[in-house]
Amino acid sequence: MLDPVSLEIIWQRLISISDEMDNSTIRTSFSTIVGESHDFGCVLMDEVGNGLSQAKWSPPQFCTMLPRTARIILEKYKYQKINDGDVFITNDPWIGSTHLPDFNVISPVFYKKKVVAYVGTVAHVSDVGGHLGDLEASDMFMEGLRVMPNKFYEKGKINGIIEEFIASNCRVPDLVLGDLKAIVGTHKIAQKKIIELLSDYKLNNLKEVSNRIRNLSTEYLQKQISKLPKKVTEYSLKCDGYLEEFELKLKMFIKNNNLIFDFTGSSKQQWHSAINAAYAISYSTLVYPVKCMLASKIPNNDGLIVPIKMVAPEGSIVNCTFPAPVKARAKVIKHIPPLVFGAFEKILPDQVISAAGGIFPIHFVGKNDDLKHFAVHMLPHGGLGAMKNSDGKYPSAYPHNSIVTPSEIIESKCPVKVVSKEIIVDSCGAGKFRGGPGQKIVFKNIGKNTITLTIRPDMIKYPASGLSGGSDGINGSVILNKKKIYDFKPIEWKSGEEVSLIVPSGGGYGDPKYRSEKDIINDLINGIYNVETVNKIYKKKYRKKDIERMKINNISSVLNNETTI
Amino acid sequence: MNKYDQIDIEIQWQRLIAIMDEIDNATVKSSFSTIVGESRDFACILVDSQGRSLCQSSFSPPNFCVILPRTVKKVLEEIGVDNISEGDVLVTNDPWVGTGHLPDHVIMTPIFYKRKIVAFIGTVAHLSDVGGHNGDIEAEDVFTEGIRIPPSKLYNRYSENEELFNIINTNCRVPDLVLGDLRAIYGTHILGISRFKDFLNDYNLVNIEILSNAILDLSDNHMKRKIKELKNGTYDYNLAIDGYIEKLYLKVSININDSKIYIDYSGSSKQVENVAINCVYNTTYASSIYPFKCALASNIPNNEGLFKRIDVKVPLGCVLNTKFPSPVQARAKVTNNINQLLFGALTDVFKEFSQAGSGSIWPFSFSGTTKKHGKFSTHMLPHGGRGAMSVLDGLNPIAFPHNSTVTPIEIMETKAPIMIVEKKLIPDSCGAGKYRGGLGQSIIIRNIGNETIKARLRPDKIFCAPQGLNKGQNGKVGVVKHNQKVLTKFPIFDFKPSDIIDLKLPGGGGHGDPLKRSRKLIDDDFNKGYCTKKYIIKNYK
Repeated sequence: MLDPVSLEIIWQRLISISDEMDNSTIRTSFSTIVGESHDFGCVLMDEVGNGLSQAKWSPPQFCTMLPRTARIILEKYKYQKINDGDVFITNDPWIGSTHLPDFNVISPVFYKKKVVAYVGTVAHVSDVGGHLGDLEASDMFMEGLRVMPNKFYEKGKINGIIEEFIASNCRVPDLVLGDLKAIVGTHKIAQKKIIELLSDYKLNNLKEVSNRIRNLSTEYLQKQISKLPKKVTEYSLKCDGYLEEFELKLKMFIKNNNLIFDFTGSSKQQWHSAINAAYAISYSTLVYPVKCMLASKIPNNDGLIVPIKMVAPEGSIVNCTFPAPVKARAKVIKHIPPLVFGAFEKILPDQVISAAGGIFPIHFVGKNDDLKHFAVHMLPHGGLGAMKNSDGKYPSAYPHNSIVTPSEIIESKCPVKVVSKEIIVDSCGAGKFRGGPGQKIVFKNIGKNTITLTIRPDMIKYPASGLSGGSDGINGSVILNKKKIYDFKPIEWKSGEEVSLIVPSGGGYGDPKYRSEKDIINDLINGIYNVETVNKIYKKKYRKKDIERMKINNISSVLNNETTI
Repeated sequence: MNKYDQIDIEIQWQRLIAIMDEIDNATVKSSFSTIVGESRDFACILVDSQGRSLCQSSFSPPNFCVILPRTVKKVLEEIGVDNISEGDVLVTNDPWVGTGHLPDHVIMTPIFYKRKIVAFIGTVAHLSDVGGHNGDIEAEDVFTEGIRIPPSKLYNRYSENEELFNIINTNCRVPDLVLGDLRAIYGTHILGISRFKDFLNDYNLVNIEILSNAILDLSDNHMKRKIKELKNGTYDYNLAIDGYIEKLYLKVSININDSKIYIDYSGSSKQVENVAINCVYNTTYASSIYPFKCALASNIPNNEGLFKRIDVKVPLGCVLNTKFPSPVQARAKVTNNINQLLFGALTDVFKEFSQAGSGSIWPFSFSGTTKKHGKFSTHMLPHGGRGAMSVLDGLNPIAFPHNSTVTPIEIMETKAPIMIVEKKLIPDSCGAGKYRGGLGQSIIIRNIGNETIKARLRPDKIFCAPQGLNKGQNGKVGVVKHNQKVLTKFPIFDFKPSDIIDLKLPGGGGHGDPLKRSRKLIDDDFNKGYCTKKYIIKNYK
């Protein structure tokens, strides 16, 4: 049996192998969405598809979903031989990561002629054909090509049918196949490193390591659950939706040290909007906040999901059925963490986070002045929600992954100018701790041609809610040529036109009247709030010129400090 | 047998046609969908080992016979003849390789005899669904319109290419219909192969090279003679057509020079953005050949020998030769007008064979899911009246220049929750002339179910009327009303319970001076109720 120290070292090594896959993916990828926006995840699994480790950068949902996908694929190939050099692929929403752009690529790792592990990557590729729209769809078939579980490579040789099929059915085949092949390359690195690990420790397989990691994690989480008060709690949220609002209802209770989350009563799936979430994404999004609250220090692995159960009626918006449209399922699932925190507020108030301002994906597709096709994504975020002891962060990804494509990259890849990108003053949800402020981004089409613009905003009607007496954040909006728009079909964005995104702020935590003087002054100095607003919200009587003086003092003190250093 | 006499050729040629007819019938009998089984939107063609089309089934639309040789040649080039074995079946729906839009699947089976490819059987079939958006005319690009199958093997040595079947199965809404039709077509090709081998055995042939050359040469010689009879010269013509929202202009310049014809479409409108009415070269080429075939060789069965002498030039990027990946689904809105353009240019040259503009085809479909019908998708391809010729009235609603029969009311009503309230000829809708155009028709349909279903419609000639020729009057333009409201834009729309859609399809154009129409024919029109007194007084005095 492995001693705890060796186990920890092996575990960390597995994580760093995933990290290495992650890094090589960025370095070898072709597209902005993988290379710059980091919309992918790398997972390492044992020989039957249990998730063991993920790259630190990987979004947590992918790491819950991908092992499930791997197990479904392995079930399908139960009676067929799996060879060294095989690579499986699928983007089916009900088997994979629940919308078509997410491709799952999974490779076996062979050691001494036996499969000892699987490595997998989920990546959001640049295009899968289908309509350019996002939200308006009446079924999944409109959303692009679907690749069922198949061998993308067989014994190291690419499957010509799948390759050609993907190439013929997406707008930017170079980027998509480039990314997919890059991923297969990173798997080779991981395979090599896993074999090295096994031979370093004279192991024949990862079975013991896998069992120990997962069992330890499960036991730890169950112990944490046993400490919680045995109460049934309920929480519900009303959300924007697209053409029709929807409601999420959650009942949470503990049974045999398992946490049960029951979504019965939530809205039904919608056939006119592509916002439906299939089971896997709802479950994995639910797991993450629970993990953060109860086992934040344990690296993600499949042992942590064992005590977390989800009940969701088939055909509901959190467990939609084939072939419902699913492309923009983030519109639904981003509300799951605030929902879970809402339910936990009553039993674990110190650990919850208020709702965040979300994500406003924006997508530019068109032709350059020299008529070359481009497809560029950006995933800007709103402010985060506040917690028991800290303000919400400035715009940052939550509960999603993804970093923001830099303005420079956008401007070099398409004829779009990022005119401004700024924090919105007075936007935070007030509270003892305030939410993170929202941001405003203005884009201008500086090319000669019309660009097809797809924007998928949220929280235009219902803002991010505060907890424990904290206020809600501001509502989001999209402004095209000085007019607010509410219809988010693909927009024909003409040369010279401007579009502004108001990405909402996060909700506050705790009653604003308890906010400390020091925090308020700091906000004023940093320009988070205007004086009038502070006086109104926090019931203060500051004078503008005092604050101006403080700002100057603050700057001079900073300068003085610098000179002394 | 090395020498063929006329009788041998005729008998063997007819037998080949009969084989294709048998395949055609088998397709109807074994197909799963209404568009193949009822609307007959498919064609069966025999192509020789060099990829030259030899014959087609009698029912097949003529344009596919022109296109298929181009497709076969391109597919062979992509896959490589050496990589093809007995029992392989090739497929593609690539618009630029095949027939110009994704639903048309081209299925090609090589016939091996004594280990050599002696011919190909080809079927072009419009299948029920290829995924993609539900719309029709409005699309950003071909990727929006569905799944594109590059030239691939549908069957590998008599066994299904599982991966490809899987891809098709998982990327269309009605896989039972689509795969059912594909498998049915494969079955008909197996039948065709066995008939073809019988044929070779009966005549002790090892291949059909001599026969093939004879058919093509005979046809070519006939065309050569016919073209020589035409008056040399350059003939120009312009035509405004509906397009979509904005009108388009087609321009042609035809040069008849001894035994060759050069058609040049330079100057026609550019390809359109975001509207799926662009034509690939293949369809333009085929649509250009057809009027010549009708006028110059109407009695000769279609084969490649008939169109070697016609050269079609279209600048790349023009609506008649669109670049990848522009949207192409509804290209018939443009190609349907090509005959009108050519007949217009050559009225005097073609003499009695020239034909006025026809009322066009209005593809129309319902889809949805209801308790009673399950998941359904039903097409109907109704037509307007046909254009008149200089010696003949235009026929009442009939397909031209398209193929396709009309899905019977009974089939429509059993497959979807609709009732066809009315289907009748529209009096006075014909263009007057010495010979009048065919009448248009009126179709009124109501949703009699409790569920909202989707309707998709692609009308034509609701702005630009079918043109009359030689002083003949234009036919009447079409009108579409949804619950009394006139529609001019045609994205897919909701057809709610009790909604009514009212289609008035255009009548054909007239030919010749109306004042020269015979008294007897005028009386006839009146007695049959085709024309009212008012119309007769106005047009024929």
